[in-house]
Amino acid sequence: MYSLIRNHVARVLQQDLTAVISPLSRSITANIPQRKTNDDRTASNSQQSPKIEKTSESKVPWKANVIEMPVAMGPQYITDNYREHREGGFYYDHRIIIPEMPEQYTVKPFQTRKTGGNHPDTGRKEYRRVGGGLKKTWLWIDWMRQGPTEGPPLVERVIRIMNSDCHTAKVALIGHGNTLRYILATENLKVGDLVKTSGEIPKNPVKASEGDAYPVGALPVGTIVNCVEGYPGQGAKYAVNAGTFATLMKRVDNRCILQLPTKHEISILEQCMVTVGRLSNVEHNEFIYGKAGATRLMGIRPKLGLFHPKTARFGRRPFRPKPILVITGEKPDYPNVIRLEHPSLDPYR
Amino acid sequence: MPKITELRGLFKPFTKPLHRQWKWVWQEKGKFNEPKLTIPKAFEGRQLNIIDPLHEPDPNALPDESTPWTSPTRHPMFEYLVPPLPREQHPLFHHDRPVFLFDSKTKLHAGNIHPTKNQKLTFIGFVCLFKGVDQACLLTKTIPFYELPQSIKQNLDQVTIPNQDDLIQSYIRQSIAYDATKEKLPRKYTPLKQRRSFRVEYSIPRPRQMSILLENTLSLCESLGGRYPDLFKRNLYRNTPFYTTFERYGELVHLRKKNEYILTSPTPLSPIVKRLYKLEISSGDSVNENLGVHDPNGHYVMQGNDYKFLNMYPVYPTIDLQSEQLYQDGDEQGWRMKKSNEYVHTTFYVSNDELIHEATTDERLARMVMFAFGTALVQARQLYPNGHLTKPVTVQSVFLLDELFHFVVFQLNTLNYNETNDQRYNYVWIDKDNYLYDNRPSMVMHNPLYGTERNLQRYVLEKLKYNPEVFQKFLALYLQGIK
Repeated sequence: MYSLIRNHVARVLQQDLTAVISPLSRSITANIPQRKTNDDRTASNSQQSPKIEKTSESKVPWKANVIEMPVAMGPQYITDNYREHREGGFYYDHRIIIPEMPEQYTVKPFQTRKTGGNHPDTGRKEYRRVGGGLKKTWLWIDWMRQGPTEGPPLVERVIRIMNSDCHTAKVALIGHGNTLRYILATENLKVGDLVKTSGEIPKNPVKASEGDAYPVGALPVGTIVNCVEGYPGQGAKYAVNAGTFATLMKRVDNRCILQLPTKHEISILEQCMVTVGRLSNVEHNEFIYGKAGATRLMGIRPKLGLFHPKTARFGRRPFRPKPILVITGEKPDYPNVIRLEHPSLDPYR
Repeated sequence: MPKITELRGLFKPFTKPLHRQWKWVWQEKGKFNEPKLTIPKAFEGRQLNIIDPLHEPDPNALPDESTPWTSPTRHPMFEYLVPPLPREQHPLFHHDRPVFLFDSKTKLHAGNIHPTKNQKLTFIGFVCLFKGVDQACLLTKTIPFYELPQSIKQNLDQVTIPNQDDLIQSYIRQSIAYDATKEKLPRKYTPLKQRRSFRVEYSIPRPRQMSILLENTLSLCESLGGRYPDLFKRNLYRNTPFYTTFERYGELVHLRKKNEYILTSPTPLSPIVKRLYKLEISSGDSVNENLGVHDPNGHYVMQGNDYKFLNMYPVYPTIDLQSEQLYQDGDEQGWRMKKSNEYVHTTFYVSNDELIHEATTDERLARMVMFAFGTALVQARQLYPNGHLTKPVTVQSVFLLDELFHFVVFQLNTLNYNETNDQRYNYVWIDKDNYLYDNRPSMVMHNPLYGTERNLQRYVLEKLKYNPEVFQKFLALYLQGIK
């Protein structure tokens, strides 16, 4: 406090000095009072000691109080979790193939190729009712929201919210430091919001606000949550579509029990990351196409079966509730699985 | 005995076509877990060299036979068969320090306010969060003013060429209608609707249109050489390379561009704000009263004190710049500056391939500000190699696209971009959105003036709505530095 007063007084004195002295001799380089760059820095910044994750350059005004974390997604994630096919590339969906994947995470949209329901290697029809439609550009979304396990959380700013061709929920562009990445937007997210992620599990549950990402153990029971991981480090897997959410039901030892949107319960470790809130585009299921051509533009071909007999297989089928699925995330004893996919074994070639 | 209703659906794996049955069988039984290595009991205690054919060979066990074969000679006739060097071995690849690259195609996060008609499509309207010009000003330590400086405004109508309006309208008509070239233009497209297709058109390509307009207006301005013979000593260069690096708070930024047109003069431009520290003006009454007796030093300095730099927490302003390790050190301006008869007067940005909707005015102005700053920097480093500016350096630039003109005047006051306590800032005067002619036919669907090339020619020949102020500004900027 005293230092602030002293600096202010010194500044005022300097102003008076320059007003008096400058008309007399132009050679003195006087200092115009500085009001600009100090506004960017908060008062607390100069007193905090630099930590490992924080950029400790207090000189640079735009780097103050900013924690930098690199994006955790990479092509390794894709090879671990998604299907492959012969030519490389990325078989994302039964409708879409991305021919070339870069080595690093990028924000630029990808041009895709359609499968038409055919398997890219054998050429045979695998899925019905797939074909045609507008071209789709694929955005690489960062499913892994990692946060620092100690210290202040990672703060990011929402720069843009956009629709995506390949996802039902809306996609938000988020930036911090020099990195940009995509994230599924929650319901009430707006451009210019600040969004936090932290990996810390404190004793008292955290008062969560929408859009933030925390580990499951840090949240109070009953919170609404989306983009749930199975085991820590996996990436978001459950409650990933428009308007979906999971609820925290219980906490047992170091595991938490969530109810997924299908009313199936799941037990995961405490350290799994999760974002708070309900995903955007809540009116997705109420959307009326209006005409058959709209479904064709989405790539859905017509359905056969108007005059086929309907048996007991169709109609309302109430099932018993399934037991709680406990996910351990341990790799099985046999990590190497060998698959028979060689076309020479195919009798029809 | 089960009923037929309970049996339906269970015979699928036996009744469907064979290849589909095989597919299902393979999905369930086509993968097997790799069996564990079992060493027989007789071999348990011994140390053996185990070779597992299901995995790669142990490098320690077997000898290494992975030396690549290189051909004994390399004949230049077969060099085309040799694959080119990977990027990391290029001589200009800097392994130690990456650099933030600002190209003529980077966009500083200024958003489009796009009202969308179709909500199903990807390009939803996004709000302008950060202003591109403010981001550029943060990077280059400048203060922007959104008007032309008073000293140029006073000279607007003083020098005129006889018939200047008619001549310029004839140049517009020449560039769009009266030129005889007929080439296949690139296909038009809109991002708003994917399925909308435009007809193929044959007419004058855009770079030719722009160059005709620009060169003719420049020759019109040069025709005043009778009155001001200093104009004959100026030079106009085309397609000169340009690159510099500068350091901003410890981060290197690299600017790179190919200047389409660049005007040079034998004497440098005089600065607009000459004395930066004059604070004798009494606050309150002077700012609004003295419009006739305008003192640029005080007026702009006082106005500049009110400007607040952008706070883009937690984003850095270098976020839109790509980090590159392949760059060339030093400054380059297309000619050797040691002779020092050439000082940059104006740079002209003529965009050939861009349609109007591909970038916003903010993004273009930010690009202009950055490159004007770059040219001024290079000039200052040549004049004052010590790093201490005695006299500020000014540079002008003009942007041209169809009918759109932007004018920018940049004044460089410091060479110091690393310290936070330095209070000297550069100044930029921006005059944006000057339309040479209005109501140009556009590509909106239900528009009576639909924008095909034929309609464009008809509009230009018959109903041109000309705006004479733009050429006055152009002339005033051109005649800067002439006594």
